[in-house]
Amino acid sequence: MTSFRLLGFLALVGFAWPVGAQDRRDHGSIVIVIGAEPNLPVPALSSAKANVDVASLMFLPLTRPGKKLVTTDEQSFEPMLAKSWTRRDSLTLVFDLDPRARWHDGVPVTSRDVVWSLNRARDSAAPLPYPLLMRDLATVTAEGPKRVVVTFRRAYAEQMYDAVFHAAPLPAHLLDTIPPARLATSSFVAQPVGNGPYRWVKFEPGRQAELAANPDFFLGPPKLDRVIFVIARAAEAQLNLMLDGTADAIEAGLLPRQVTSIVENPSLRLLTQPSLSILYLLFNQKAPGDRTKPHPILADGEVRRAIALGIDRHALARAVFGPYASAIDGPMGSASWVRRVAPKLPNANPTLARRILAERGWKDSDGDGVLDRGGLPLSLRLSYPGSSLARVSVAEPIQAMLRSIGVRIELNRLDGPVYGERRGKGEFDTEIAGTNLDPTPSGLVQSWSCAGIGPGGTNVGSTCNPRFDEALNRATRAVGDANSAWKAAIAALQADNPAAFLFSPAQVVVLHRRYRNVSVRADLAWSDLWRWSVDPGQRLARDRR
Amino acid sequence: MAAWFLRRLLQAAATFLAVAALLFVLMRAAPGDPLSRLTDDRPMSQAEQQRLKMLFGLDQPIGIQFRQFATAAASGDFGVSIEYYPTRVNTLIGSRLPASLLLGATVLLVNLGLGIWLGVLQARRRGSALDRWLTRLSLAGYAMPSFWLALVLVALFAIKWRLLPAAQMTNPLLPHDASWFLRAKDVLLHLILPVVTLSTVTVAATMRYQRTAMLEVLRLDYVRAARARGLGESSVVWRHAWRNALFPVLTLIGLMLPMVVSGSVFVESVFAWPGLGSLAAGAIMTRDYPVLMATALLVSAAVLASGVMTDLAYYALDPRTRSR
Amino acid sequence: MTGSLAATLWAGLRSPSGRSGGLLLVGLLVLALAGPRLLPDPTGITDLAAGASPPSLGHPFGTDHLSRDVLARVATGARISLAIAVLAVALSLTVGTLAGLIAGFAGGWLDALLMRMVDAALAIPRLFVLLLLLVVWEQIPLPALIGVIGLTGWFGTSRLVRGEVLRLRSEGYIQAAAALGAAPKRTIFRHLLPNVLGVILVSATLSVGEVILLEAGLSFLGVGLQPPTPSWGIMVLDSRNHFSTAPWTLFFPGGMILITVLAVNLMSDALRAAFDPRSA
Repeated sequence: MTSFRLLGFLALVGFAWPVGAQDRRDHGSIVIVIGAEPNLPVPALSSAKANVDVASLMFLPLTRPGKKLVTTDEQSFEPMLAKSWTRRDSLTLVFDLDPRARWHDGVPVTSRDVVWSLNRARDSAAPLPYPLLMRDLATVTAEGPKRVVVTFRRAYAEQMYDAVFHAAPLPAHLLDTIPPARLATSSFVAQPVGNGPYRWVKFEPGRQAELAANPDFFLGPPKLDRVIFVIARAAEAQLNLMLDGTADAIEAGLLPRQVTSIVENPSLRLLTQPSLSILYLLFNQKAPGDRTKPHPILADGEVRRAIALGIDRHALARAVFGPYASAIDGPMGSASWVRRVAPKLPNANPTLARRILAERGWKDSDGDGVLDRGGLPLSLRLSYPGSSLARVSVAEPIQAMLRSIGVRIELNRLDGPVYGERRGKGEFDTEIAGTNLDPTPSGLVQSWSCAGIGPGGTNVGSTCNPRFDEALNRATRAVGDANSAWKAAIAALQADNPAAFLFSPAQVVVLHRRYRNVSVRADLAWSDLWRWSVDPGQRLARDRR
Repeated sequence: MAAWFLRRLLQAAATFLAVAALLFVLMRAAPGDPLSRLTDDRPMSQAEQQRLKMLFGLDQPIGIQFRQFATAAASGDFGVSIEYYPTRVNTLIGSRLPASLLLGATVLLVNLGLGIWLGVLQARRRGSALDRWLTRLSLAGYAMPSFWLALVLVALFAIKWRLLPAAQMTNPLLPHDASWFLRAKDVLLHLILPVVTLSTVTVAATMRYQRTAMLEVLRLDYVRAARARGLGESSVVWRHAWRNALFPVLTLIGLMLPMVVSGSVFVESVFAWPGLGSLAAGAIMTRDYPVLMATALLVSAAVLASGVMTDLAYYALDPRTRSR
Repeated sequence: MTGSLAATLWAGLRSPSGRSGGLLLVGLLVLALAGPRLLPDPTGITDLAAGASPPSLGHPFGTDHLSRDVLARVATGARISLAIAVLAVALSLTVGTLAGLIAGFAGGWLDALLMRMVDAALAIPRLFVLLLLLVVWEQIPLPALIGVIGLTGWFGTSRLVRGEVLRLRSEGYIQAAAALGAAPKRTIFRHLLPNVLGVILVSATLSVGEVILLEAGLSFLGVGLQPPTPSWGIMVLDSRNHFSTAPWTLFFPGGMILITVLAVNLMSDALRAAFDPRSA
């Protein structure tokens, strides 16, 4: 009897268990709001954010920086397609591919794919900036089907980063008959085949792109099986899609005042963490529109220092972003590792600012509240794009702060493309610049060194300080511990005040409360999505199949 | 008639060509660099810019650019979008046009139905309580900034009461095998708020125009004569009077017609409606010349066509204009 | 003629809707003229950290996200927005009416030419034309802004007026007047204008709200007035990002636009009734 009962019980368990497990095998869905159409979701073909976000779910890199994004420490990188890597010498890195990795069409990922992809991205026919970013790679070769050898032109700490970050491998077996220049228009783009946790389902222009879980993903099947990117460009539409319950997640450029409506919403929560974006007030050291002449006011480094001292960046960050921003000490986002070694900038000091200006001969001789020297008023135009919420929000407070040290700021809110055009031509006095940086500080060469002036770089303020250039050169060539060299480089930059560095807005991700195991990266927000799951107790109708 | 119509068509075609050339020049003359916003805040070097310029042919003199554009456009090819490189402009427009047509046509229908009917009703019951209330409503209706109205409607109906979706045209999670009925219902629900926003102002205007025109006609001799002949009231109103009270309303509808094609840039953006309006809004923000040019040409074609149609309607409705 | 015109206008103003519309307009004017003198500095950021606060005794309209008094900003904005609304609309109405009258009255090739020009102008998005201003002016003066908005806004009106003229022609007004030996000018002013007034006034009320928001759109493109100068349109567009948490920053400037358009509406209704009592 007992044994029968036991048998019956076992039978029950035996039959019930798989069903229960099936049910518990986390189904789930997530709707993510993005700001533009992902029309080219393939790595190293487009650097537009919508494309990069969608591609990061379908294509894995060889390895990726650890969560702290220390790009100079190759030991902190995490294995992805490559299960391990070794260093042969200071110029050679060897990657061993994970034997389980497969493309979505079932074909194994091989060294041929990696070699083809990296060489394609380095090819002069590839879209910029990839060939430029990967210029220090000398050769990429295969040793057998699962081993890739990368050699570099010089020894430096960020070799690993350069080899893996910019171009994730593509399936060579599907692409190597297509000329590189035609890749972007090939049928592959409409039906991309990746190797990551999610595979492409379909794209409905103007509306959404849909991905589905790849059950054979070699690092473990994703727990959320349906991922939909819904498209909304206007900020108010994005926010409304979150608040009305249509969407589950967004990486938001939100202000704290908007955030409160999210915090008050019982089904949403906020996730904030350091980011790679920064905001700063850039000084043009050359005459507006004429790079051959110095700027009549801003060529003087002491005036730049005084203006920087006149802006209370802590108060600005607090007022505009509340707790969701932190003051910065140079062109480094709060998630950048250099920030931890960089010296601090002094706090705002209007008295000192006024004294410096007086020492440089700027006095208010006509009593109008604006300093002047030799008939020239200390009046500057401040341009910024009206489309950027963050920059619009800081413009008027900056104007008010500088008014109190006798500097008149004329605000110039511009249409984005006009702002961009004038910036490129150097037609401005000062501008509020905002940038989303790469994790590496080596990009500072383009924006802040003498070499960055002119066609190759983005040094629009024409700052040129040989002391900084030398220090930066030493830092980018450092092998092993690069920290002290970077510290010296940042200090040299700070001493010259090419800009008033303001703050780094936090990366703000708004998401539905039902997700568990959530992790968001500062470089690619959604790339860990396959580890997320839905709390069984909070599952919604749309999470079931 | 045929000669008049042909002449009118030729005039419209000539105008269209002039507009196309003018648009091209205006667009290139307007300040703003389409390439500067391509990379989402990532700084772009001048070398990179130069290369992109060559890719999109922007390094050529404007005369050559126009010749290239005109030759391609004549065969129906509007080139490649800059922002959505390498997507073709025709593909983009083709995928967005249906949504705009749906929104615009619905608003137009609401106007033709509700607006005209209410306007005529007001004229017939002139001075009654109904007329006064409808007047007040229409005054408030078109005093309403549609921008403001859209935000308030969304805040109430979509976010506070959760009755209607706040944005987009479809529910992103609709199953792949959903029936056509479910799909239609889904689109309809998404359509309500944008249509109400756009209709509030336009219906109010249609009502006012229709009421005014109708009042002027109702007192004319031939209407009185028709009444005197003992014809039924609705026959007098609709058959005899309304026909002649259509003029200003026709002109107004003619002015609204282009909206059917282009949608409303603003309302489409606020509701993330996947139509031409939101495409154009994005293209303005990025100076995506090929997309801008194509959408602007579509709208001008619609404007010109509606002009022809309005004239045609005048011609058909009123025998006396024919003598000209 | 002038005497009767003044009398008609006066009668219109004395009607109930004329009086309420007039009262609203006077209120707005008082706010625009006296407000900025009595209220705090609309651009003064007193306490950056304080943020927006809801309406209170000290700040009847609340404060915005930069802790500035919304009432003071609304009052200062009234000067700009009302000036633009009234002057630009008046300009575009005058030009539009004249063009429409000429086209409708002259007919023939002049009509065709004028109307094809209007077609072309309507077919070109206003934005492209206005963006060109950036090339000419770095910071546009207000009169120029008004002029440009007015001169790019008359095309629709001219079409409407022409349509009305055609209708009146077909009804025999003009033939009758001409048969009685009236000079064309007299015919236009005596017989046509009062009859097309209804259409002109409706078109005016439609433009007022549009123009106020257009100015804001322009300032967003860098073409219009630059911050910290407040206009209602700029306040409305700026506050949309704070709508969910500080709705008063959107409500008051939006409400002012509504009131202005409503006042113009009421006035135009009253005027039309005075000119043409049978349509009231």
